Amino acid sequence: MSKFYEKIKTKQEVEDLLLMIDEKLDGGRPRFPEWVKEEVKDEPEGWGRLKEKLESLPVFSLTVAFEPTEEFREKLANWIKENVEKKAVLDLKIDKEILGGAIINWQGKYRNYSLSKKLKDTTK
Amino acid sequence: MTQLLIFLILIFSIFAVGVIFLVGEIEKINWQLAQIKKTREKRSLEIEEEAKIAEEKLKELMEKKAEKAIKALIQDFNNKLSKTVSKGIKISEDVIKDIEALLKKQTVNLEKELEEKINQEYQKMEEEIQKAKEEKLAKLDGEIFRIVQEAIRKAIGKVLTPAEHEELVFEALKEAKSERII
Repeated sequence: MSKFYEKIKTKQEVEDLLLMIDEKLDGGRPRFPEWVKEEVKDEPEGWGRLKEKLESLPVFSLTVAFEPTEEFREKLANWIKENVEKKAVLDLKIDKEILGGAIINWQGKYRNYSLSKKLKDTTK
Repeated sequence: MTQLLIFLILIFSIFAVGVIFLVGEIEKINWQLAQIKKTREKRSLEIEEEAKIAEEKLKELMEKKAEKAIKALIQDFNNKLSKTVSKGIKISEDVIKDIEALLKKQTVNLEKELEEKINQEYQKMEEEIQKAKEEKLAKLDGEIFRIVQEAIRKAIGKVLTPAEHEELVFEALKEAKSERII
């Protein structure tokens, strides 16, 4: 797996990085991680290319019912990269109303695996 | 002279006799005229009387005739009236029969229409009651579901540990994978 796709795991990271790139392009001096510098390779068009690459990353949207730990977020992002798509970035949302389980939205496909849905289905 | 005198006397006597005779005749005529006048007056009175009597008789006769004619007229009128009334009664009876038949027909139609209307209203009412019942039941079901769900929600919220939450999320991911959603 390319280092770039290994490093960038969540939508939040993509957004943060895009802001930093904009700042850089505006003449600012944000502090980028080393792997980003390696990706850009000090080429003038490197930042624009990286920006496009970041913007084209597919987003795996996942809604859960609890506040996950950083460790769990990491675990989830890795699982997605290994089992779904290596380029995918995780967009984790929290909705306590779903009680448990998860709601998945991936490439236009939506599926509700929440406990509230199961509860609703069983009490129908 | 004597002769003349005698003659004159004679003439005179003749004249006097003539005058007397004439006077007598005039008186006679006058008397006769008076008699005639009297007779005429009497006759006139008689005629007048007769005319009066005749007039009365005529009047009486006329009255009788008029009375008879009126009676006849009344009788005729009564007969006609009676016939007309009979005819009228007959017509009235026929009209009443017709009206009765019409009323009966209309009543039957009206009863039918009324029955249909009542049935429709009844059906409508039943549908509305059913609808209201279903709505009420659905509302009640919703309410029960909400209460049950709220109770379970509270229970799950308290019961599920973070580890169990994590496990459920992975179960969901695996299910999606097996269903080829991801």
